[in-house]
Amino acid sequence: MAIRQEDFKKLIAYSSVANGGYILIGLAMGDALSVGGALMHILAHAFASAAAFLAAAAVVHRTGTTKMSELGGLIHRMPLTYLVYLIAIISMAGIPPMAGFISKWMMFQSMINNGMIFTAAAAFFGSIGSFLYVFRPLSAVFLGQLSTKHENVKEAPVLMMIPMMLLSLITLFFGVVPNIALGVINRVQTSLGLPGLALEGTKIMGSNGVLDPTLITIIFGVGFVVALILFILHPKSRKVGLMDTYTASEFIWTPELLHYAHDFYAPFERLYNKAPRTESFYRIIERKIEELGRLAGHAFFSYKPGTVVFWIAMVTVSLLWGGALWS
Amino acid sequence: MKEVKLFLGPQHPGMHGNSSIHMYVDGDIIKRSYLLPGMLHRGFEKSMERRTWMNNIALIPRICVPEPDPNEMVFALNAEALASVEVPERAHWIRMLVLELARLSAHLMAFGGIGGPTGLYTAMYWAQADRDSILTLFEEITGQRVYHMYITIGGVRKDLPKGIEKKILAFVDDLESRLPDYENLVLNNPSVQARTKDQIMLPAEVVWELGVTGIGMRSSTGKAYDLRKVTPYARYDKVEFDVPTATYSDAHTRLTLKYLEMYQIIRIIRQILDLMPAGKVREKALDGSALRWQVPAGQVYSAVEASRGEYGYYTVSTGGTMPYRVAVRGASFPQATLGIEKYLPGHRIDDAALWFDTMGICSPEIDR
Amino acid sequence: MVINQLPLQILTGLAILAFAFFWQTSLSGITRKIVARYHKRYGPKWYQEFRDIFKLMSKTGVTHGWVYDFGVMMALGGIMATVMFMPLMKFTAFPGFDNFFIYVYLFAVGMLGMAMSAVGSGNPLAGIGVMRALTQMVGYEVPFMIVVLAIINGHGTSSLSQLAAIQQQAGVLSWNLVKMPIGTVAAFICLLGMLGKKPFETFIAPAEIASGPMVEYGGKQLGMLMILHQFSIFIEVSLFMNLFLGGAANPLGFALKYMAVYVLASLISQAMGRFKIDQVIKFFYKIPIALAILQAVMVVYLGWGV
Repeated sequence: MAIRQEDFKKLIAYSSVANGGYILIGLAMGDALSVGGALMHILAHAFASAAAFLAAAAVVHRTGTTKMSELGGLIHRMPLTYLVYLIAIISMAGIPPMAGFISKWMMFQSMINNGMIFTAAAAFFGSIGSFLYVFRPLSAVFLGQLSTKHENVKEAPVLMMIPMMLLSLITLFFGVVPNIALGVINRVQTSLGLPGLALEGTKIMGSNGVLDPTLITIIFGVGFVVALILFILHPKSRKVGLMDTYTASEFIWTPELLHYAHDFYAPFERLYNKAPRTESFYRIIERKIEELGRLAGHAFFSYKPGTVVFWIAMVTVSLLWGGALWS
Repeated sequence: MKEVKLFLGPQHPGMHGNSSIHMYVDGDIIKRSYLLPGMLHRGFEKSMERRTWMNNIALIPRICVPEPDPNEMVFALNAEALASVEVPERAHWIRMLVLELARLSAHLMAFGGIGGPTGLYTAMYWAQADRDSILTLFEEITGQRVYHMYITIGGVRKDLPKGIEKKILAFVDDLESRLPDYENLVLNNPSVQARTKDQIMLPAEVVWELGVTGIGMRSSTGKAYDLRKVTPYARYDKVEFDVPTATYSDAHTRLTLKYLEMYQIIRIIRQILDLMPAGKVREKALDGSALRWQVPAGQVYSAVEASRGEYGYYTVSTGGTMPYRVAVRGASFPQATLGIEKYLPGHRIDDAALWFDTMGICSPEIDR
Repeated sequence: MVINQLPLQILTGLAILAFAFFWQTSLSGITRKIVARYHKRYGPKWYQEFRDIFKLMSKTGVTHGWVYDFGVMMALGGIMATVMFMPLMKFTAFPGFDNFFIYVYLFAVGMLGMAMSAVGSGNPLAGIGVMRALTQMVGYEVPFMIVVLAIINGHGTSSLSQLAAIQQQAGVLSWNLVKMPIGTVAAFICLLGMLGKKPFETFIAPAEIASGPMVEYGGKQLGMLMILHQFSIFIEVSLFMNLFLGGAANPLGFALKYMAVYVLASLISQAMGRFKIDQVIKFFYKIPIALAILQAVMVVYLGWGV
């Protein structure tokens, strides 16, 4: 459902639903790695989702809309917000070197160990599907063509930037040296009576493999340096404007017409168009709660003086003599 | 903005020829589209008015690039009708041979050309290899590979070289033995079937509205309307062949019809080589210099069945040394112009290039 | 990770990187010749890919901004890191740490970097191409991961070099290809999807979206992307080889197995057209996933194939 949203705050909200599902799976399996993974995921998801929502809020503050089909190209005006959002989604998708990878790895280990095929299939599907929905706001809101309406948008204000950057730094930190957090989680687990996690230096011992996040980050750094050297050694590229792009040698002048954002995952959505919608289920619950509220409103907060006096009397009686009446 | 503007533009890997389709796409469905032609406009119809009758033969093959011979044929038919020139018997048969070979090469290119939009590049390479053999045959017969300037007013330019019949027969036998391979590769291929079966339909009402001829009409209405049978020219009434038809026109059926027509072309070629009489190949249409030859006044329309449909010229002569007006009826003009505006929307962008290909649109003959 | 062994390990990793580049790029050229014979033509010389990459890197290109360049570098960095972890015959740069999931997720860094820079160029066709690539990933990753789940559960280790060593112990009969044939077939189909070969070439689709993500690349960025493509083929084919064909103990075995997998994949792909993206997903969620689940059930609940 996150995949089909056009409004990016709702999209991030639905992603929290998906992550909640992961945490539930982790806690339900009950062995050391999975509970540790679930607790780590709570931590990682808290930071990442919060950062993503803050980035979204910064965009709304500057442009006034959350509909992805009206935004676009904001990276050229708000690069730091983009970086915060990027780090948040790398963590949410479970990609190293961020904290989300650690928790996903631990949960997958115990799923495989216990041989839970169908849960694992659903978890894999969710994990890969999360690439889809986290990528969409990145591409539709920050990348792509800058609309002429947003030419004068400025970067988010400093007071908004500070918490966002703080959250990103924490996510990065726990991705590179997670054992600090995992040490705390270990103590939580042993105090609950579950076996602890096997940690050794910077490594995490899984049930069928070993993970060393610091090593991964270092090697990723080495790879990046090699790529950077390769890039710098070769001739410098010429900078061109954003509208100066391949249009099959035709001409176009409106940036909005060149920005692909609406109905992004159209083919995928068409596949499950006919399935019953969870959204309609939520809407039914919403309506029922509303009715309940209205009923309560009629019963307790009505304008008729008789009802009000009745309730005041009831409350006074129960406050003064409730204890005696109950026992 | 809900729509994105995409271009199946002139410089695009999926474009046949050189036209531009502007598409307004929502998600991945095309909502509105129109053709921007004119990039291949070389001003042929006006140029024809500035050249003498004989001179024009050298100009006009270039109007349709994949299959140039119908141009020469209809121009020659028009001039011969206006000037009352009798073409010798052998020339008719040679003309038929050249037209059928051109038709075969165009069908091969279109059939293999389905490899571009669907990704089956193997078919494309095989078909082009066979087309190359045909072009080598043409080089032996006419001296040129692609633009032959061979069919002229009064007959054909010169006689067939010695030994060409054996070569043509050898080629045709070889191709016929390999056509089942083509069928297996393209028509029975599950991935191509997934792209073309029940997609890109051409209902009969659209055929009547746009005036689509050729395979488009035959595959959708079931009528065997082939100009070679309806108004035979150049001894087509003396050879036997069938015209495949169908009533349900999706992209797969049109491809199948193209494939079946290749068998019929091979059948015709064999009969031509059997039945061709001896004799002279060109009737002198004029005394004196061709630069001063005047064709009597009159108006005439001739059409032949090209691989894409009915291809015709309407010639007006006022008795001068140059034609007064020649209007070209490109076989795929209706599908390209009105068809793209009215019937392409509703398809997905994946199908745009495939639509362009299976409707038989040839860009040079639209722009002229 | 032991600090003083780290520089030596990194150097081994870089050596593996260099070998992978030269091996895969030459093999690409040789495969082009083999495929060309299938097409009834001769094909270019075996070092054609080297020429292409060299030419591209030495051209002055065009750039659309910092995210365009940064994304390419991030992608290439991530893929290079993945190659450095890959066990190659007897050499493993980081023994004990070559966990299967590292490959999957570091690979995802590469894809994310490329997606970022492709869409950062501002072209909608790149956005459509990336959308298709991500959708396709949903298709092929899930059956593949289920088969690998079966393997890891069965053998008890997710370290690639250990899995290869287990398979090499008893000769051909202990290869996972022989013991878990259904899973191998499902994984091979997913390999075709990963490599981006027809019929799953949807995200490039030259005739529909003018090469999708690569539409706006040129010069050294395109050269780096070609290098990235060679490395990703190396990772995927090596992964398949180590998981199902028993890895390689000596250069000859390595060469034969690698070539067999890659050339077979290329030849199969030349006889097929391209699916549309929803047909890709429908296909992957019919046969490969059924085979993968069947194999997993067989291994986990019945204990066959271990």
